[in-house]
Amino acid sequence: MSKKLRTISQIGFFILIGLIAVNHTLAESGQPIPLIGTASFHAICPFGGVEALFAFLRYDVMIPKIHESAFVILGIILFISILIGPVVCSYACPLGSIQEWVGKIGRKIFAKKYNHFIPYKYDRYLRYLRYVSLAFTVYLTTNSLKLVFLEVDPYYALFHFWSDEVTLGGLIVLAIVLLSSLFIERPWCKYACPFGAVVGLTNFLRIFKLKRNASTCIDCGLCDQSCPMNIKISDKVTVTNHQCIACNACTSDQSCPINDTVVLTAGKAKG
Amino acid sequence: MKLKTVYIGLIFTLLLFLGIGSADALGLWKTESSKVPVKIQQGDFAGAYDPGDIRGSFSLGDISETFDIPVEVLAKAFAISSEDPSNFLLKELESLYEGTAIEIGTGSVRQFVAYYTSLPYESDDGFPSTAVQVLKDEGLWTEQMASQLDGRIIDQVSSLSTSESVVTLDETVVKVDQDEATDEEHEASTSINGNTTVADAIALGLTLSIIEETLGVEVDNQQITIRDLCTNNSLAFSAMKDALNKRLP
Repeated sequence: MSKKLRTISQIGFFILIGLIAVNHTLAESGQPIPLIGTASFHAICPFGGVEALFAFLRYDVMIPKIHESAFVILGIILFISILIGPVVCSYACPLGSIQEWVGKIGRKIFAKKYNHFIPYKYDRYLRYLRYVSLAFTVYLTTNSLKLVFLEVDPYYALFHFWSDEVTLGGLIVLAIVLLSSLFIERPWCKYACPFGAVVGLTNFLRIFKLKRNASTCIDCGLCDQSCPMNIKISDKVTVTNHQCIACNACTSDQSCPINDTVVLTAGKAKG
Repeated sequence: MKLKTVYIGLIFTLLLFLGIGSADALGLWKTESSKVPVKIQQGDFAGAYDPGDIRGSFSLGDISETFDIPVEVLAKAFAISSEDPSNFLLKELESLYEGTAIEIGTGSVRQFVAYYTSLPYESDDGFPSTAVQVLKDEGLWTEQMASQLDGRIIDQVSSLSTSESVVTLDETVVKVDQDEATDEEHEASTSINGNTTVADAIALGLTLSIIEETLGVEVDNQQITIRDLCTNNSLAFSAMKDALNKRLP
């Protein structure tokens, strides 16, 4: 049931964000769809808030195209992430969702080999690339006072491929991400997403944490196999991995066959 | 305290939209730039909205609301015969008046608003004869205005027409010599305007020290616009823009 609800949530947010993107274009031509917001994509992008924050604090200027709403939505998402983890990645982000959906094809083709192509000894270091992506983006944006990330942003390209605002770089990165999704689950999220880097840090301090009850665990490894981010759950008591996207696939509500063994809780772990 | 994962999507969606709704109620949810100009900080007109901060993204409706000038008056002044002039954006003026000897654009509207409301502002832009007529009809026209606008009144614009929602210059409008127009366009792109960054101004021939000396502020980032520097330091952009333009080589 939890899995189905997550899929419904992903489809819902994908459609909503797609409609907002289309409606902004329609609104500019004077024919918006009623009841759907006409805000620009940048106005509702939480990463826009991250990109613009330092320039706003340092120079007291708003990066062109970014508006106050981006800071608001960033604040709300950080609040939710601190409460229940970075669920924005697993329940709402359309780029994450489309990677997952493409990944289902890859899983059928490659079966158990899927999502295990990159050896752990390299993969563990590659996971830190998204912090490089974050630092580089924020640095360049703050100094140029322009949305430099737009040039390679696959998220923007996904919802503006029809418009003249889309960049070639964005389309190329999007194509690479979707193609890679056939081999790796959520490659963008794992290795490059600068916003994932920000919200991923809330895993260290979130209130409701994923906890494993070692005393009831039967070491079947289903929790490890279910994790799209390849996090090894079975050797942990509390999951604080910075890559966790809070999809909760590992929990006893979903993959774990033993009740109350992997749970989302604000209390102390048993066992 | 355990949390069933079945509720996660619901909690996320509720908190997200509740947060947005609360921010909206508090006036924090702004998805577009403010359409209200800054207020004049000093002098006799302190506290009044600054016509110099009117931007190309403002509509006639925005200006009407802020400066209490009827939309019909603004539309008549700039010969805009659109079905809904309140939604007409100032940035469309330049294409509407494309080819005139002197640019008629946002600066012209700022000037009109300043004359209409007796607020300070001086522009180098052109001024349509229709706007002069409106000021005369309202009893606001003065000799000083005539002197300031000497050589900048565009009186060839006799009529404008609309084709559905697109507003275009009528065929009867007298076009100026093409070379002259090209020179004007070139001139417009080689002076300080609302989008000019410090780096752009340096590329135009000013030095960083001249800019800092004129504005009286230290520039930390050359990508910042002159307008933002002025706004952040409570300076009148129109005055600073003119001062910098005078120092251009």
